Amino acid sequence: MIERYAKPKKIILTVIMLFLGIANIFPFIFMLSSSFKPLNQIFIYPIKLIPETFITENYKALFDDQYMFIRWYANTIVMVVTIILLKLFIVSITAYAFSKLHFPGREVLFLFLLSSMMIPPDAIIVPKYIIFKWLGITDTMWAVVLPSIFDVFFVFLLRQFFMSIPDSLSEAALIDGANHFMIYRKVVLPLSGPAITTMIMFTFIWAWNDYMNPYIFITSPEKQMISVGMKMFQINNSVDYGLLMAAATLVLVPVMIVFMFAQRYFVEGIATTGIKS
Amino acid sequence: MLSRKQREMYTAFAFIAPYLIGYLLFHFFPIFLSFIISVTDVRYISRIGDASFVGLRNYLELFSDTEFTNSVKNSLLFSIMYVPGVMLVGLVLAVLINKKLYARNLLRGMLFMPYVSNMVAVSVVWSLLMDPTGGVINNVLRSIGIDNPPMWLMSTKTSLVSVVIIAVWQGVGLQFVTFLAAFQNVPTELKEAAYIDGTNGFQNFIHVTLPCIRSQTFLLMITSVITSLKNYTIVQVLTEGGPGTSTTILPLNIVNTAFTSFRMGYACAQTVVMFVIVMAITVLQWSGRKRFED
Amino acid sequence: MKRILCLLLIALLVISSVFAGGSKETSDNSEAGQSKPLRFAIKASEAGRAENLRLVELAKENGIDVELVTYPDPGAGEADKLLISLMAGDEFDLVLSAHSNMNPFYDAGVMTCLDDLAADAGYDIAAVFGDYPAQFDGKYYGLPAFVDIAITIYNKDLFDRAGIPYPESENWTWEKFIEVGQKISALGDDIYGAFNPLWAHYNYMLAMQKGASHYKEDGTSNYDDPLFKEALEFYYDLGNKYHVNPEYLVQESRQMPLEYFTSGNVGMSVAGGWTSVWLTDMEKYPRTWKAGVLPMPYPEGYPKSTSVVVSSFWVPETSTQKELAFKCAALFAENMYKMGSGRIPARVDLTQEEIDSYIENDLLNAFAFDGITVDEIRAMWFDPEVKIFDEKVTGPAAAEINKIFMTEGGLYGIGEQDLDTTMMNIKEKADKAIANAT
Repeated sequence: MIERYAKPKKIILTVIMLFLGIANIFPFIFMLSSSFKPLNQIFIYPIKLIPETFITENYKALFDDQYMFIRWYANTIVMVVTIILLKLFIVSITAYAFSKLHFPGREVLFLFLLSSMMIPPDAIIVPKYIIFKWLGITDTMWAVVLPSIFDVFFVFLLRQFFMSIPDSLSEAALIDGANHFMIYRKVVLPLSGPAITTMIMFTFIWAWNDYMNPYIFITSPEKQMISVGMKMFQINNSVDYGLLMAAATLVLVPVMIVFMFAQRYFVEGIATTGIKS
Repeated sequence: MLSRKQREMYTAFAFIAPYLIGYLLFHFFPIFLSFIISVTDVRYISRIGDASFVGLRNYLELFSDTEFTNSVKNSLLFSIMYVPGVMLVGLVLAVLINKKLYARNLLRGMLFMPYVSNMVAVSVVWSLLMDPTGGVINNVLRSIGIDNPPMWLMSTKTSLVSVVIIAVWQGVGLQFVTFLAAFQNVPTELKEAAYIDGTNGFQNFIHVTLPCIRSQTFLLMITSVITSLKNYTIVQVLTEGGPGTSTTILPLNIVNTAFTSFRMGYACAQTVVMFVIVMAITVLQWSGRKRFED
Repeated sequence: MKRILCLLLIALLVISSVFAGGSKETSDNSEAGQSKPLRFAIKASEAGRAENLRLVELAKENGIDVELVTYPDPGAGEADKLLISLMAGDEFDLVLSAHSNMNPFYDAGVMTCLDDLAADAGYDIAAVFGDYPAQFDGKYYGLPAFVDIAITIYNKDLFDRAGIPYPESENWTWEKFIEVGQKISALGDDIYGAFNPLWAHYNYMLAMQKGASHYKEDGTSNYDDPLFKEALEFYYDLGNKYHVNPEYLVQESRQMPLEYFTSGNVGMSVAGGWTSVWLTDMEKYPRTWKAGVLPMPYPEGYPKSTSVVVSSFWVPETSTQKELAFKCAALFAENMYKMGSGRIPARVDLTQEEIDSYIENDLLNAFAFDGITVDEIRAMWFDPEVKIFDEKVTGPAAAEINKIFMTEGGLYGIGEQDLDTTMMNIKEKADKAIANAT
C-alpha cells in the first residue's frame, strides 16, 4: 500500500493549488463581470470586478434578429460533432497502422505527414481557397470539417499512446487467429480511453474556437460558426465588448461540460493496471 | 498465398489510405501550390496571368531582408524559451494535481481554464498585471524595494520574454492534460514495487514514472517545438509584433508580407524557408527517438 | 466512452433535423426580370446600423432585390476574406468600402470600371458627386455613399468642473485645444483632457493640415519633409509632454478602447464624424452629462481644415448583373444620407434648401439631448470654407505605410528611439514598400 499523506501536507498542497487555480481564472472572471456591464464602463481604470451598474441587456441583445446567435451556435455543434465522429475512426485507424504495423517507408511517410503541421495555416490560405472552391466545398460546413479531420497532430498523439501498449498483447491475439482490424477494435481501442478522450476534448476545443477557417471559407451568414459570429458583435467601428463577453461566456459552457465529462478519464492508474506483463 | 509480412503491409496501406487521400487533398496540395508560388512574383492570385517566373530571386532577397532575419531570430528565441517552459510547467502541474488533494476535480478545471479563456480577456488581464506604471507586478516589485522594475510588454528588451511567459501560462493546458493521460500508463504495481524497495517519491518519479511516459514526452517535445514556431495568435493579440519589431516572429512576418504588403510570392518563399527550418529541427529530434520508444 | 458517443450522435441528429428545414429561401421578387438577388457584401462594423436594412427596403421599392452578406472586419494583419473570395471568383454584386481600403481590390483587378456602365445608363457621375467618387488611373470605380468629416466632441460636465467656458467653433485651434486639455487633465489622475485612439493617421495628421503630401512627384514617399517630423512630434507630445492625452505608454499598455471618451472621464475627442453616435446612441453609451460638438482643430496661422473619409459603393468584376448593380449603386449612393444614420451626403448637386432641411429635420433631432444647434452642426459638417484632406494614405502601399508609422512611431512613443531616427526609418521603409508595390 502507498502510504497515506499526512493531513497537514494535503491541506498545504491544496492551498497552494487553489492559489494557482484562482490566478488562472482571472480572465474568466473579467469576462463574466464585463458581460454584465454597459459598454462604456468595461474599461474604466482601475477595472472593477463587480459591475457598478448591473445589466443583462448584453445577453438579451445576443438574441436580436440582427445576429443569428442560436443558429451559429447550432451550426458549430453540428460541425464539431461531425468532426469528432469522422475523426475518431479515420485518425485512430491510421495511428494504429503507424504504431502497430510494419511496412517499408513508415518513418519517412510519417514525417511527410507531419510536414503539414510545420506551416502557418494562414500562409497557405489563398491556395487552399482555390482548391476548396475547385472541390466545391467553399461556403459549406465541409470546408471546415474536412481539413480538420485529416489533422496530423492526433495521428501522432494516438500513435504514441498505442506504442506504449505492449506488443505482446496483439501478438497473442494474432496467434489466436484475430486479424488486425479486430485487434484494433477489441484490444487497442478499449485500452486507449485516456488518449481517445484527450483527442475528443482537444478536437472539440480547437474546432469550437477555430476562427480562421470559417472566417475565410464560409461566406453566407446563416452558415457561419459561432467563433466568427462573435466577431460580428461590432458596433460603430469598434467591438461591442459587452456583447462579445456575454457571447464568450455562453460559448464557454459546452467546453466546460466536455471537460467535466473528460475529467474522470484523467485519474491516475485506473485504465491500464496489469498491461505490462 | 501472401507472406505474413506482405499481408501486414497491405493491411497497413488499407488502414492509411482514407487518411492519405484526405491529407493530400486538404493539406498537401495547398502547400505544394504555395511552393510553386514562391518562385514567382505573384501579388494577387486573380492576376496570376500577369505574374512571371523569377527563379530563386525571392529566396535571395530573404538574406538581405533584415525584417525577415530578425523575425527568424525572434522565432528561435521564442521557441527556446517557450518549449522547456511549457513542458516543465505542464509536467509539474500534472504531478501536483495527482497528489492527494481536496476538491481535485475543481482544481484541475481551474488549472485548465487559461487554455479555453477568451483571448481578449486574457490580454486585458495580463496588461493589468504587467502595466509598467500601475500594474500589479510592478507595484509589488516597487514595494519590496526594486526601483526600476521591468517594462514588460512595453520595452523591446523585455517584450519577448513577457510574451513567452503569457504564452506558457495560456498554452500549458495541452501539455498538462496529455501528461495526465499519460500517467495512466504507469501501472500501479510498479510504483508499489518501487515503494517497497525503499525509494523515495522523487526517485520513484525518475525511475518509474518518467520511463513509462517517454513516448508521450517525445510527442509533446516535437509538437511543442513545431507549434511554438508556427502559432502567432497570442503574439498578435498581445503586441501585434511590437514594440518596434521586437516580438515579430516569423509566422507574423509571413502573414504581414502576404496580407499587408500583398507580396504573395515573397511570403511563400518565407513559408518554404520556415518549413525547411522546422523540418530540420524535427528530423534531428526524430533521429533521437530510439531513446523514447521501445 | 460509448455512452458519450451515442449522446453526441443523438445531439447531432436532433440539431440538424431542427435546422435542416430552416435554411433561408430567397424571395421571388423579380419585377425587373431579376433571376437572383444582388449580393451586397458589407463589413460587420457597418452592418449593425439600421440604415442598411432601410437601403434594402429602398431597393425593393424600386424593384431591385438585394441580399445583405455580412462578414467580419479583417483584424490587424489578417487576410481580407472578401478579397480572397473575389480573387477566387465568388459572385458578389455590390460592396461598400472606404477609399483608403480600395487599393488592394483595384490592384487585384476585381473592381469594375464604372465609366462604361455610367455611359450606357446615361448617368453623369461628376454632375452628382463632384470630386468625391473613388478614381484610379483617372477612371471611376466607386460611387460615394457619404463623406465622414472629422469632428471634436467634448464633455461639458468636465469643462464646468474645470471652470473653463465651452469652446467656440471660431478659431478652434490646436493651441487652444492643448490649453483647455491641460486644465481638464489637472482635474484628477484618471481624468484626461482628451483621448485619441492609437490610430496611424494621427501620426501625420498635422502635416496634412499644413498642406504636406504623402508622395513626392517621382512617386517616392515624402516623409523627409520637416512637416512630417513636426506632425509626429506633435502627436506624441499631446500625451508625453503636454499631458492632454494619456501618455502613450499608459494608453498602449492599458489597452484603452477607442470609445474611452464615452466613459465620462475624458474632456475631448478628435476623430471621424461617426463618433457622433457616441452622443446620439444613449442606449449603448448611457450617460447623464451633456456634450458639445465642434469642427476639428487646426494649426494656428493656417486655414481651417479637416480630415475626411469617403466611402463608396463599387461593383465587383465577378458580378453577373453589372447593369442592375450599377443602377442600385447609384440609387444607394444618392440616398444613403437619408437612411437615418446622420451621414453627410457626398453630393454636389444638393440645393441649400435641401441641405438646410436635412440638418433641421434629420440631424437636429438626434442631438436633442445635448441641445446642439443648427449653427453648431453647420460649423462642424457643412462649412464651405474648410479645406478637406484624406484622413489616411490612399496611394501605393497605403496599408503598409500606416503599419510603418505605428511601428516606428510606437518606438518613439515609448522613448526608445529619437525623433530623427524615427523619421529616417519611416522614410526608408516607406520607400521600400512603395518600390515593392509598384
